Amino acid sequence: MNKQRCPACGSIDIIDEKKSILIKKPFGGQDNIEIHENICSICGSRGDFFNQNELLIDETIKKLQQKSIENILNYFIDNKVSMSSIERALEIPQRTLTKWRNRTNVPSSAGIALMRFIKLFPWLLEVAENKYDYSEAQKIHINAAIQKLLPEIDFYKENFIEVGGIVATSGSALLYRYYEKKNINKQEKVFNEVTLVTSTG
Amino acid sequence: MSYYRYEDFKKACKNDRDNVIPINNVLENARNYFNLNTKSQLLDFIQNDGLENLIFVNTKDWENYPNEDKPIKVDAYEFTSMYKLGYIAFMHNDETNKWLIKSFHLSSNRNMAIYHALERAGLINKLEGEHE
Repeated sequence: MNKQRCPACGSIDIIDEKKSILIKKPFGGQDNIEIHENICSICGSRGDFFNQNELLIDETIKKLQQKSIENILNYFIDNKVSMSSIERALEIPQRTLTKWRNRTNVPSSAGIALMRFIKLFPWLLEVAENKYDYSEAQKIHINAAIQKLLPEIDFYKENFIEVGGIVATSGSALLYRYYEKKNINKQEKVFNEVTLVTSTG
Repeated sequence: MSYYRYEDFKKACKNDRDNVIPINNVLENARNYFNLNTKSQLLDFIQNDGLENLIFVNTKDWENYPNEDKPIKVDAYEFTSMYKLGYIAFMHNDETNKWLIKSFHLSSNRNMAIYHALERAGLINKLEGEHE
């Protein structure tokens, strides 16, 4: 009596097939899972008519999110940024990140989003260190952007070992300097320095 | 004029979730283009007024319904969500008592109506001007 029917047309002529889908999560990698796909032979509708896939998809996402948290935190540790310093800067309770990393606690969705942002834009930590002051945040942001841009800028430096310049507006000035010098290993190294001065008035 | 009351569809997404079924590519598109990974997340989004600036597009007969004498109507809407312009189409089968989400994807129809709706909502350049 309780035959499964196509929710779209009411037919009982339903085929259950397996379908492979790829689930990806930022910084967590990807996983291939096999889900049910119900196909109605009469109207051609297809999908998860009987809610068979929800749990598997949900668990896979959670697994990848956990992996992404571990990858992000390992990245900071590898780059000598301690978890306690991140916790302090972001004003989150000490050991929160450790508990996320060692799976004692599960991070909230907001926590996962925060981790993704600081992985993508580590300078956000410096913004937090400066108590989210808008003017400071702008400087940090622009500095980070310029550091990315500088290597792409042609300073006509072929014949020089040092060039520099200043770009000034009524409210700010950007000083940049490019130079080459030998480091302690006697290797020639290129240095880019940028200073941004803005009026806070 | 829409065939269904959107509020009824939204209510079903909240209180009668077993009877709302996304079909065809709906879940795949929701996951890939809207970060809505599961049916639950999609229905939560709809019932939480996630489809903003809804604009009714049209009502059509569902072309695949086998009973031609008693066609099922499909309502289609465009909507916005942050910077995305989306399209949703849904229908109700009285016989099975199910709501079917037939389409859910990014809208390719960048018409002026949706642009004006965005403008009315103050979404155009809203974020850029915030600190100026």
